[in-house]
Amino acid sequence: MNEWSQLLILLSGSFIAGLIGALTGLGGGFIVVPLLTLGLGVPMKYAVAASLISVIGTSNGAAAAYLKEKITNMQVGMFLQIPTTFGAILGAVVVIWFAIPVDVLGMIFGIILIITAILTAQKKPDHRLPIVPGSLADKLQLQGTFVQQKETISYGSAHPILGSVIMSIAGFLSGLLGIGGGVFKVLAMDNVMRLPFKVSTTTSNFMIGVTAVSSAIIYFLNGFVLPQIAAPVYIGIVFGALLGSKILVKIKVDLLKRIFSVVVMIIAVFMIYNAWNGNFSK
Amino acid sequence: MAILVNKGYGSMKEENQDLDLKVGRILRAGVWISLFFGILGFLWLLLSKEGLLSFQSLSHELPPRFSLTEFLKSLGQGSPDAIMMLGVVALILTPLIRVIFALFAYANRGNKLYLIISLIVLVLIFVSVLLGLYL
Repeated sequence: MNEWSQLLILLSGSFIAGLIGALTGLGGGFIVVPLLTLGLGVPMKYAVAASLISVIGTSNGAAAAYLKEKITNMQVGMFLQIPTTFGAILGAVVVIWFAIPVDVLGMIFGIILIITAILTAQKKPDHRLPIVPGSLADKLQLQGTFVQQKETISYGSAHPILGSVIMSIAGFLSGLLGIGGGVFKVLAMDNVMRLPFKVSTTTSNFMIGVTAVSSAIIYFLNGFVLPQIAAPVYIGIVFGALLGSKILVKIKVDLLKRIFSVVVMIIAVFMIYNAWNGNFSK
Repeated sequence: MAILVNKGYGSMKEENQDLDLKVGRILRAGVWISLFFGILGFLWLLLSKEGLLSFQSLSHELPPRFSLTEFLKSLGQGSPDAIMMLGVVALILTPLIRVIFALFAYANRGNKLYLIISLIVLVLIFVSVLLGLYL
């Protein structure tokens, strides 16, 4: 395989990753990192760095689209960016200075994917919590309104501390593996803080960019962002995600999600198998 | 009094939505600018076929750190790598500008709590720059 065809494989693979990432809501990272490492022989840290850069791109794009719909809660987003950026910085520091073996990273990647596949198959709760005056969530202004079918719906939230702790884990995984950590965000925002489903989805998309930036900067300054890898990846993923979001509103995604959760499982097993055999460090 | 409160809430909501639109514009501009430089550099690279990187040649050793002077030098020479890197830099800067923008909006509005919260986020990003540079 020459260098030229490698670039084109990377570009088209990233496009497909972006498309599937948008349709499943998982982001393109979970396909791009295995493609780069096991498919094209790129060392893990370069792959994670490229994936993080693409996460910023898709987050910016999706967030801009969602902001038009006025559902995103920027205040909840800003508040939760404290734990996610903190976690993301820690993740990048662990990878680069503690130099944990890349096979261990591959193993963690696989395990997180399995958890992701299981959790995405669960039914998502959709809460409408009343605002409790004087509660911590109220003092932190973690509430808002959105319009649904011409009706203004106001909502509050619960357990901001526990939610923040889980968000810091999501951030940590993002800095460690280059994926959005979306499932843990859903866990924190839907299950623990009990925000309305629409609000949590759009707000987490909005936040992912800042989370990814805080670890991407560390990879970038340490020389792990190579333009010939990062550029085709983010170009492919952003356009793939753009197409995905257009398809998303037109088709039923339930069956698609089930098919893709099988795909995610296969990739997870593949990653764990290769990590076990030490293929990431070869 | 109730009317006053209502009025206050209404104008706050309007301000919020105004902020939504402005932030949305920043994000979109960031995406398109980075795509522009990314695609330009990528096409340039494919056409020139020079300096193509072999993925297999990358090692697990630590790479040389990012150097601003070298980046600016190769950007001046119009290297495809540097143009693509410019796209990456634009992408990295977008969320940063967004946070700074929100910070000023909260300051303007007199929302002290969220002024402090956005400041903490900015400080954390600054810490990550320091960690990237000096550790």
